[in-house]
Amino acid sequence: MTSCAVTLTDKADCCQDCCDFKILHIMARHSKLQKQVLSLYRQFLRAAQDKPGFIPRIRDEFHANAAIKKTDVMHIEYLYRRGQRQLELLKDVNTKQLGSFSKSKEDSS
Amino acid sequence: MHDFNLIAALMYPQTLPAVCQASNRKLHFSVYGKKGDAKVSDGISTQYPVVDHEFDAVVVGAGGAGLRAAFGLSEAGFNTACVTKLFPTRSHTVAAQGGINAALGNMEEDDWRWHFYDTVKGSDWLGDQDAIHYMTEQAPAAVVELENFGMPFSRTEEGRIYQRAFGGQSLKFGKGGQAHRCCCVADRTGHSLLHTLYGQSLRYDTSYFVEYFALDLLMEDGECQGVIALCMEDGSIHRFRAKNTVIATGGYGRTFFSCTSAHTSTGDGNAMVTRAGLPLEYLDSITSLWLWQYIPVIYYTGCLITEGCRGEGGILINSEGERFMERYAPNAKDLASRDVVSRSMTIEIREGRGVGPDKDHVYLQLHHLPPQQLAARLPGISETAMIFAGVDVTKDPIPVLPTVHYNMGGIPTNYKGQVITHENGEDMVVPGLYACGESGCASVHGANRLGANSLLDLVVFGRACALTIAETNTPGEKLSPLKPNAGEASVANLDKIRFANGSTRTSEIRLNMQKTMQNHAAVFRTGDVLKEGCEKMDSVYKSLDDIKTFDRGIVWNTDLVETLELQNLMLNAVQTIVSAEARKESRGAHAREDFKDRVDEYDYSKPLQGQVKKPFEQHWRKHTMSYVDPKTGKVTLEYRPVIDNSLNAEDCAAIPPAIRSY
Repeated sequence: MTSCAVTLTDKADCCQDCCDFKILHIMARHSKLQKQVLSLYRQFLRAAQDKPGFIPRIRDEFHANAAIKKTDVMHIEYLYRRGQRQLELLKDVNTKQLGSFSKSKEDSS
Repeated sequence: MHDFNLIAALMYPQTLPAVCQASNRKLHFSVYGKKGDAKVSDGISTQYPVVDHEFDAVVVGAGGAGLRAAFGLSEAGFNTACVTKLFPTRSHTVAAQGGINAALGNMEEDDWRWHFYDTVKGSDWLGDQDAIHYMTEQAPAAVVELENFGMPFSRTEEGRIYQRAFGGQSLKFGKGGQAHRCCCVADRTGHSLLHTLYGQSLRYDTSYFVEYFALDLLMEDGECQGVIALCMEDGSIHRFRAKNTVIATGGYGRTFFSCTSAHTSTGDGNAMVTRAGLPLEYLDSITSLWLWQYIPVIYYTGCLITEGCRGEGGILINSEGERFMERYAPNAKDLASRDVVSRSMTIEIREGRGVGPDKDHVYLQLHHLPPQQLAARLPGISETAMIFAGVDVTKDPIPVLPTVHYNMGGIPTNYKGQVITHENGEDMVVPGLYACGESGCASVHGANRLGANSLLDLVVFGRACALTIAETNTPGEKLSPLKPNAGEASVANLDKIRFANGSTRTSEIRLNMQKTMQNHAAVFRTGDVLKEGCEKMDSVYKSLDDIKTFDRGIVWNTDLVETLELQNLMLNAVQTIVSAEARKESRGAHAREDFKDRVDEYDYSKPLQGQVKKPFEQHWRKHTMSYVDPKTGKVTLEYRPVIDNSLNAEDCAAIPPAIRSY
């Protein structure tokens, strides 16, 4: 998921409101890469249904990376490939849950 | 001292108290999204996601032994994971050159009992004869199985597997002359073996976790419940829970400055077992010193020149052009056992008959052999010699020097591959843990390994581990419960190293360790030199606390991985040098100048009648078992008797000790 242009659904509205929104009008359809990323996200959520601990992490990861610029294609593609490998791992029947070891701020030097 | 809260994950309601005061590890474990997560979510500085996997069996290491165990288990129907820090075909097995010993009888009449005798003698009677019996009896079947897998052995004219002569192999219990027992693939047997095994393993549905660095074993109540590993690609931690864990991580040649091992031979499995509080066996006579290539530059090249050269007829020459092995081993000459050859070479050099401007190496001569034979049987050596020493083997001799090659010791196991400890005079099996390959010590090699027995060891004991697991377990068994924060110490250690900010770099500490080991625990050892070495190693170990790393990331952090490997190497190195200092005799590859003889329970150079058997504490025909306290680096030594009876006395009589000469 890249720029907030993705969330716009109704292009008719923006054209009428203000000509500043004309640019958003053109970009309202998702690009191929955006569609792939969205599809990956959906697949992740589906695969993580029965396994505790994955869904919050998946959401966090995707939301954090949503800030990447749409033009930084190399980075997005790298994350997408890595995501695909991690999805394969998640789909594997032997993967059971996701936990985390965390260190609180006061303990780290 | 910090108390920390263990967040009671809903998955394991029965096991946890709300507060656990055990340690000051400063890490919390929680499952994302569970209750109680909110308490720790504020103020988190570093978070390590931990993915849990459940399998029937986990194999750590994907070299010869690891692959054989992994697909043996998959074949038996077990859901197997193979965790490896290298891609399988890059494991160090690929560098093996010589061959595999098996009494197939293709070149002359042969019997596996003669092979048994040679191995027992080669080990200087420190090998466990039941394991040696098992290995040599299974050898022909193992080689035929490999051939059926498609391994492209060299062939004789009739189309049978070509067997060459190799060091320490004889016929008729040592009385029938040189045996030709080593099945080979030109001079790249290890390469073909590994590729064949890798190809076969793809037919089965083992899950491979490549480029996952295994950190520690998950031990619960003295039972092994799996491993915890770091995924190098994305920095996530993975816990592989399984009822059976097989360790096949290889040796630790890199504790020495010059060795023939790859940079990845860092003894990770050995260190994991040590940190779990289990002993390691026989690390004192750690290496089968071996021929190596030397170029007249400052530092050695470390290229392996296989014993197969000598098997094909190559001879060792000193500065006077003399075939000096005839003096040291009148019968076997250049094909004596490796430790005898290494010592002879070192003595020649010390007495001033070395070659070269500094007179510090000897020559291996091959140009008296027909060039077609060299091209057919030793193509790799010819090329190595040309590239690394600029020597044309059909005209000039190759400059060689002994160097560290293999370690005979490792994780103690019985002949079935199960890891054992020694308590109250009995061998006790550690449930759920197995070991094979160079990291395991069954012990078939004893004080010295014969050439071409290592590849045999890999396939036989890799298969043995798989068979033992199949015998005692069924696929799909329920796993016993594991503490939710299992593996926390490993992650804490990882975190500590990742943010280490001392004053010495990893590479400096590693160099100090390597130089210390090289100077103090080499071919010939003396009491004072060893003692000094122990003290130096102790201070190098303590300098680990002051380490500095530079890369703070978690994705492909090679600084972190190298430091973890250094920690593993250190544990191996301290045990090696302390055990060597304690062993006051010369046996096999452990040669001491101040104690030149073997100290057995009887003096075997004289007739046994009338001799009093020495008590266990006063002789040295026993296995050393060493433990380390990882925090201080202090080594404790215990001893365990050698198993002197074969599996079946009617099939194959055990060999009583005798004086070892070639």
